[in-house]
Amino acid sequence: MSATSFPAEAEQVLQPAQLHRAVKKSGRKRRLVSLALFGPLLAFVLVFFIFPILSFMALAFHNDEVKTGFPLTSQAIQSWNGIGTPSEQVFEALAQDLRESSNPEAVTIAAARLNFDVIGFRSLIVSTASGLRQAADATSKPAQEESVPDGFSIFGNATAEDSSQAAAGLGTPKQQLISIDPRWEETRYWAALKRGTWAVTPLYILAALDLRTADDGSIEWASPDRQIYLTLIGRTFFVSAIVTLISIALGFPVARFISTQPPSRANLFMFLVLVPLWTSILVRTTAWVVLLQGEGLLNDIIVKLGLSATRLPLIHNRFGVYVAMVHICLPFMVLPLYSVMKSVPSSYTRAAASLGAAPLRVFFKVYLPLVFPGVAAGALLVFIMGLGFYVTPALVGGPRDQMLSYFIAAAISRDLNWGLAAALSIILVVIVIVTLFVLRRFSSTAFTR
Amino acid sequence: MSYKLKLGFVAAIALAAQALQAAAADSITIAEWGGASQAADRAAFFEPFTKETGIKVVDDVWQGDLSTILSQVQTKSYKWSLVRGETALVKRGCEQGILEKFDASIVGTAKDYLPGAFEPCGVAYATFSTNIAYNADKLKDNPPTSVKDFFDLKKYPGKRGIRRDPRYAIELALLADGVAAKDLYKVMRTPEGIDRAFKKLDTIKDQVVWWESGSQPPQLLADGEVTMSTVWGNRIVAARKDGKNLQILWDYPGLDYDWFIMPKASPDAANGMKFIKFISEPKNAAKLSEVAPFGPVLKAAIPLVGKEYADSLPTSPKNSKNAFAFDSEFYADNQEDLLVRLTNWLQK
Repeated sequence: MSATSFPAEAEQVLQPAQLHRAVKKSGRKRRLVSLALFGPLLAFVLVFFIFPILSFMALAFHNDEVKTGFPLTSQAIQSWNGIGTPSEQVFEALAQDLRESSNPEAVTIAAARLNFDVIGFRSLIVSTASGLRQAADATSKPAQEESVPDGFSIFGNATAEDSSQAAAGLGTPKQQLISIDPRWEETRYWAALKRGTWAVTPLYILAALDLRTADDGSIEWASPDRQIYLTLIGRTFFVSAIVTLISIALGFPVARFISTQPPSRANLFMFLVLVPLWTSILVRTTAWVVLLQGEGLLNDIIVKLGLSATRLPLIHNRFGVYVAMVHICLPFMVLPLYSVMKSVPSSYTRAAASLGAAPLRVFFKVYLPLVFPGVAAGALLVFIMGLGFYVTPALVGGPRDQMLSYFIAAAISRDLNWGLAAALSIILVVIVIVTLFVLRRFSSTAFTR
Repeated sequence: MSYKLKLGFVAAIALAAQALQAAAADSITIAEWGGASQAADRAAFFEPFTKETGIKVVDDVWQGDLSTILSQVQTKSYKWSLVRGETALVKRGCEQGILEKFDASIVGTAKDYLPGAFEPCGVAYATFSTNIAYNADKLKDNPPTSVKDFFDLKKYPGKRGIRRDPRYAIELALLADGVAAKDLYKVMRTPEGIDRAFKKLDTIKDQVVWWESGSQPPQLLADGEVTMSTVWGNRIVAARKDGKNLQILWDYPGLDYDWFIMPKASPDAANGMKFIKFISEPKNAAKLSEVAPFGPVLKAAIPLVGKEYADSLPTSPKNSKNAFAFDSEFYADNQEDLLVRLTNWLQK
């Protein structure tokens, strides 16, 4: 009912604008109250979930190591046009950054960052820095021969190598640096150094997609013997999808069976489904190693029963990964399925059957559409869990069965390469979001015909 | 809750906190790799150290993931006072600025130690070996004698265990392919050298079981899952003590140092340094070599190791006749890239 349809009563009712304001006002109050109630949760999610995840993902583009480690060089190199080697001033700035750094750790951190772009850059910087220090230190004498007991000369090479800087004290900074290490004449090191001064870096995202920046700034494929991540991304997606399908195939009958049992027995069965969740994933996976290995229990039984003359390869291959992953994921499929199936009255399917539908037709036309939300929820849960698996494939899989998360974990903990880890995580998150989108689309249209 | 009860509660918490602090004051936590090597350090160092100084040593385990040290340093919530690591870790951690640089003069000068045992962030205390090992029960008629046998599937059929890591796998392949130990890292610094190593590994690729944790290979060997495997030598010696007839092949063992490192700005630095000083006494350093096959790095400790133990050390003249030392400088540059290369090769 709008005020314009009753112009005669205009004095008694509020003007449209006033009404609008009044509605808005009362609505605002309610919104404020609900926001106040919802606020803590929102703040919690923002502070402890969204913010850390976004700031971690931002590491994929973070690029201040070189600027911090080589402040003078970063400024000087901006004028370089990328051809040949930079001017004398840049060499001088670099020598100064290396010789007089107030923060030697920033230099080595920058060196590690540059080494990810061009392999060998780290030792180039470390050896140049020590060469410059030795040249500057006028009192330094050549390293004395150490006396090493018989049979212990193996470790001798560790100290012998640091003496490649004989005439490092002579000439211009350019000559000096090149005499310490001729690699300073190569364009690729300088190009990487300049890329290191960009505000954000595409390095990690490119690396995570098996790409790299060429020295002329164009993007090219990584060398064929170093491409791994696209394969890994595809495999991670594929393995999770297969595990999801197997889990549906196994979980559906189980959930259906439990949902038809009387409550007391259903509780017992649900308990049995949930028991495995109380043991750690590591323990469950190791149990599969014991069962499936070549000299393991299952192979013993197979050979004793004469089912196979030789012991079957059940582990360290894709089969082992599927078995162990499905085992871990199955409860997460059964739970949502069961809760949905329990809420579907059996009278619906009986009604359909009494109206003449054949069992298959009842299942596909009546039962499946009713329980489909459970299938979708379970599938989504299992699929997303599956994308994140890495301990299980590492233990029961072979080298061709490793998944992306293993490499994210390794980049974080072993290599301290958080940029790469963040880039790989972004890719994983994009996969999840796309899957969610597609699945929503699919599930909303699947049974509405 | 009544006021008195509340007060009691607060007092109890305060007391407990105080007790915890007191306990923390005379104890240090040392993280190691678990297994036999940690047991050796416990017997040789931790217990005698506690007996002498009254400072308790709490054990913990880590997997070489520098990120755990990084997070302790960044959040200033220190779990570990000292951490056991290999040379490459010491170097990486120091360069990343997460390890304490310490005054090594309290344990002597670089000349008192084997070459390369002094780094700004640590002093090495033991040598350990990476080897090939085999099950002597299964190969008793015809034991392998050289690294070439590792690649000889005709003479020694069966699976091979190799750590899923470039380290030692690349070296082993090149040594078996005829590269001299002294040229090893010169060859590995060229792309052709790495190609050559992978070509050699191609010859046994479908027979390889890749292991990750040091406890796996003794088990794989004892179970007969593999015929030969790369191993950490001390694990095999420990398995032999458990009655398993495994043998180490002392052909081209790869040697590296073990170090104790300290998270940067650790509040336990004083007690940690007391521990470092304790294990740097020659007689204490020599003790480790009698508990497990770790060679001393301190020159003065070498003659103190009992004759019956000295021969089994990775640094004994017999065992180290053609040994090589891992080049941690090479790995600091190339480890990550070689792992990518190895992963790529494994997919094919």
